[in-house]
Amino acid sequence: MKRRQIIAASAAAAIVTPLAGFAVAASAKPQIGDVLTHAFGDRAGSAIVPMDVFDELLFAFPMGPDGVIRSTSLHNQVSVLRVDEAAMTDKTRRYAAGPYVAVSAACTHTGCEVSGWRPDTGELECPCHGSRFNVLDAARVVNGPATRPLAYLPIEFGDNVFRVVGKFSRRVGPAPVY
Amino acid sequence: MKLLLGVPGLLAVFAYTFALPTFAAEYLPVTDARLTSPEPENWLMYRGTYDSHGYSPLKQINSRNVKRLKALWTFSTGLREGHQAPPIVNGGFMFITTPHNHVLALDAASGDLLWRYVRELPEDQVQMHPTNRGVGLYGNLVFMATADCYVVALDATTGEVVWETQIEDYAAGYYMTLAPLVAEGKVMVGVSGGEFGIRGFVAALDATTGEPAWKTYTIPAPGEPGSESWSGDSWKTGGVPVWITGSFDADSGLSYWGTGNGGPWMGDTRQGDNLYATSVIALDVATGAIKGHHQYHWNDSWDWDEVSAPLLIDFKRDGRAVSGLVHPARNGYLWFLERTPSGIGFVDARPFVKQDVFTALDPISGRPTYDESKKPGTGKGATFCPSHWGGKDWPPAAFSSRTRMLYIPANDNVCAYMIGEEIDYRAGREFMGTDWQQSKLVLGADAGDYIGELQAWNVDTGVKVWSQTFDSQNWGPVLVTAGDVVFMGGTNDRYFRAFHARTGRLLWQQRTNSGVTGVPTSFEVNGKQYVAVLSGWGVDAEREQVSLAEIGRSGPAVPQGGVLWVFGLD
Repeated sequence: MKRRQIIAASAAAAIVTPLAGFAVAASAKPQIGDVLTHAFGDRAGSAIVPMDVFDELLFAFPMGPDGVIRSTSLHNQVSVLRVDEAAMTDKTRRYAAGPYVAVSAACTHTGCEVSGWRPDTGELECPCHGSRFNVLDAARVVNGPATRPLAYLPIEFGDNVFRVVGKFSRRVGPAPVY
Repeated sequence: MKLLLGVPGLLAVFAYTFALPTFAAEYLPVTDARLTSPEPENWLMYRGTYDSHGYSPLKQINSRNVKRLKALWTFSTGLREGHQAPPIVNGGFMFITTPHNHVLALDAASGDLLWRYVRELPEDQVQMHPTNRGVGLYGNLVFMATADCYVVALDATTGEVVWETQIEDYAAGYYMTLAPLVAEGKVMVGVSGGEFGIRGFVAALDATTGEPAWKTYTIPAPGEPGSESWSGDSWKTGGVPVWITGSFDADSGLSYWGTGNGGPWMGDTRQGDNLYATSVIALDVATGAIKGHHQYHWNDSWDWDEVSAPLLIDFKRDGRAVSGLVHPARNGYLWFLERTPSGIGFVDARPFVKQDVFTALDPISGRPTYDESKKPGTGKGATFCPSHWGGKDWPPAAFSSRTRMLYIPANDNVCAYMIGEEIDYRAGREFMGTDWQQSKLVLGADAGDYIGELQAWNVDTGVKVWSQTFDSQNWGPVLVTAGDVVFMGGTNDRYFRAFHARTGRLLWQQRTNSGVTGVPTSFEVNGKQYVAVLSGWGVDAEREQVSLAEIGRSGPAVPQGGVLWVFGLD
């Protein structure tokens, strides 16, 4: 499974503190113009560049122009993925920067982190309950129990960074329970 | 801790305007004496009594007349996901909890809703196990352990918040689903989050004020006894959650808690025995001190949480009376232990489902030896039986002192292939280290015969007396009564059933709205006995259904949505 960008150098799991040393706002949603930055690992807080994105799933947080990470909530976390641009549906393409897309990491079922990535089929998979989403086709549900697609964060590429160009395409995470 | 005396504040309570029944003005405060010896007509805690027998002394409904049992009223909770809470009853007041932390108070006889408390949960919280397993009672208070890791105390007659205390930070992966244990004036809770790299613990609060009393970690810190059983820094994020209510021995003042597996799931990421994972621990309720432990299996690599608390059962062995602890384990063995002045001793154990991991048990300590080819690791796949959902997952077993039988809701003939992958800790994020694209269930050779099972074991002879089998997986908590009736749901055909406690014969069944994974209880109001259970499929029962379908064992679609069913004789 291609699941995340951090490859432990040793057998023992390293403890990775997200964004150590970087300013983090209390809580704020991504804003237009924010730059996508590495969410975890040694490069946490540094801007993501295309050469960082291959077959592995790469988690990012948006950073404001003041250098402050908006929030480290899972609801602000996106997966930056490289997919086959020609295979994208029009719905997907409107959120993409060439072959690159940024998809919410919060599952719409119970809110788990969607951390499984199958580059061969373009599917994201949630480890908690097995929901799968087709990133090429608007992140529609391929397999439940989720019933709603994942949200895209619209991005563009320029000056060797990925910038946010709009709000999340739909509600992030599960629907509220009343 | 937040004290919210008389100020509901951010928490919503919907007080309904129904005229309260006469008894509403006469809520009988719950005392230590009542908790130690509950009246037969009441069900004051998770398993009815501190010994966790899940036994009702009522016998108006019995093996001769249970075939006439009828649904008297139902109540829809309006919520989806796993409805697992027991209906707790005190003098005609009934309290249930739901997924997403609603507490409902109902007139136990008529079904009138008295009040509903709705917890406002953080939007960005992961609800990996959206469920709640019920309330605890003390004085005029009703306690719930919440998904955002608070204990909230509500006024039993109004539902207003009296106090609430934060136990841990949900953003670091901690959450709670268990019913609190109330004893000696304390409210005790354990934490979930073994999938998120937590360090598990049991915490106690003063039941009246919510002030913290003690907190005992299930993983020792460096220098503490048992710390040598964790490699490197693995203790900091080693899991070992406690997500099922403990038992309590009022004579010794000790509570007995089952503990979950270590994290990440692969044992090679945290070399050593990993105390006190997959164990029973005896905690002094006064101080929180660990007074004894028994580890069922060491360095778990199978996700075999042993969170079910042992039943306190005095049994016989070779003519000797044993003050015992009995645990039908997720690892597939039925464990008989002894409460001793110095701790917990091993008596004997035997498999109750097909188990191919243990090759031997040490006759003195009970420590198992493993077939290493059956133990998955990081990058090392292995097939093992039973599956990670075990021979018995969380649904509680029951014991009747009349029949001397233990009733186990089991699953057999389902194994698993699992392989681990490297993983790094990130606070509040998934930390299982299992490759789910390659891991899968594997059907055992006899799966064509059955998967789910209800087993009855004589605790004095250690022999299985009868069993009932089901095509479906079984996620049904068990109730047994003095009327010699065993009640259980748990199958994907949506039935709630009654069996003869001595023979296992099916006596009655009722099809419900959904699958029954709720803990059944029995109580009496105005001289009439009732049996109550929540039907509402979800969480792991549903997840196993999906996993079975992926390997060709499809079951019927089970609709979600919680409904409380209350049964009685006409």
